Amino acid sequence: MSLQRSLAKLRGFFGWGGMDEDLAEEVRAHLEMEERENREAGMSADEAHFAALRKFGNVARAEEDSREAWSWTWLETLLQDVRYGLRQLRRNPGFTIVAVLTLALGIGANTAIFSVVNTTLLRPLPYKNPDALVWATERMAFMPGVAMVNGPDFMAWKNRNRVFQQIGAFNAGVGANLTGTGQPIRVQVTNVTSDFFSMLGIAPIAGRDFIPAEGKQGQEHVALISEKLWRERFGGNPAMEGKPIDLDGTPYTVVGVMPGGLRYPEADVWTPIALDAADFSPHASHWQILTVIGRLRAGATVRQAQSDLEVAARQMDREYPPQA
Amino acid sequence: MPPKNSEKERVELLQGTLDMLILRTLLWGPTHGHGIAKAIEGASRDVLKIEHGSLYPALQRLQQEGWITAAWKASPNNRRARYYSLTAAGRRQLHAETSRWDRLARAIAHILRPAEGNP
Repeated sequence: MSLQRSLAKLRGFFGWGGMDEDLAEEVRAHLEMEERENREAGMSADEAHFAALRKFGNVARAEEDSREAWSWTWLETLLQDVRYGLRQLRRNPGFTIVAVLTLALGIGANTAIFSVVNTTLLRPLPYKNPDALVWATERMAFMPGVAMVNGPDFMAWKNRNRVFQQIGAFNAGVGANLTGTGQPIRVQVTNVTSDFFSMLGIAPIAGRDFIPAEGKQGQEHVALISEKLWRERFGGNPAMEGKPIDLDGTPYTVVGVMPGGLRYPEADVWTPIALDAADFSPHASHWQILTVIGRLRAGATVRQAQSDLEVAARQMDREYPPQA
Repeated sequence: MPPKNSEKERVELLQGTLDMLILRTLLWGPTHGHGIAKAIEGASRDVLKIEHGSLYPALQRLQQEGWITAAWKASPNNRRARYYSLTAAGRRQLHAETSRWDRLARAIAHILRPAEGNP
């Protein structure tokens, strides 16, 4: 439809241009002329009138059909129907309320469920190649609800596995006092293995990530801070590498800043785990509570990983039989 | 309710034909709706009886196509009426439609009354 036609229809639709009135007058004129002729032919006034109307046909129909030329009658009809529907709803308030509530409930429930499903299932994990990431855990026969990995077992998996390209772990967070920069505040500190973030594919937004050398005793007093802490405490200073801070009195050096929105593991400060510490040797006396994430090699399946880790565990058992 | 298919075809054929008759009437000079109706009835010796009302949608359509224009004028009885006149494009359209109609009529005549010697 040409632009001109569309504009004409727009005018007609809103009633600008007085097309309706013009047509009505035109029709009236037509009927009058016919009536005159009828009277001149000898009919009475009434006869003339009705004869003219009969000859004309359906006046309303003629006017309706004419309107099609200058308006979107389908739209007008639609609006009429909508208005009718609304009038009906107003006349039956009880029914309307029930209908509205039902719809609200349905839509609300639907939206809620979708939001949950979207964030948990549909949206891809914000990591590099998330399909290759697996979570590995041990369960103890005497504490079935608990899922965690202790130090030596993690090392066994790390050293003996054949399915993982990388494997990392983090410790449950603890609170610590951050001092050395302005007011002391309490922060959440989580320990991660030095290659944990690089395994996930999360890069720091300032400074650098941990290096493997920092995963050793004596070298692990470095820290990555969260973006939130960075902005609040350090004013978003881009030169963060090397800034000293104190955690519970122990001096640490900040090496980088992790992006906000990093939820796993969530913390204000991350420090590296020293894997050569006593807690990771086969005869560790203390239990670490680790969460282990691994990245499978290309082509490795979860089932392969499962059997592989079981093999590693059994080897450990043989070599270091549990003390009674 | 819009007419259904075969009815629609019938209506469309009639529309085209009515358009042509209106344009032809206006060839004689500008006139109003009532005048067109009377002219068609008269010229057809009253064989063609049309509902006067059906002219008006047709007139609107013809205006949209640009084949006729309209203007308010005073009729001989001093009554305000809308006079329609043929445009140049309308003239061309009339010519085209008339040719088409002639061809159609001849074709149908051939079928109904084949010339001697044709099966």
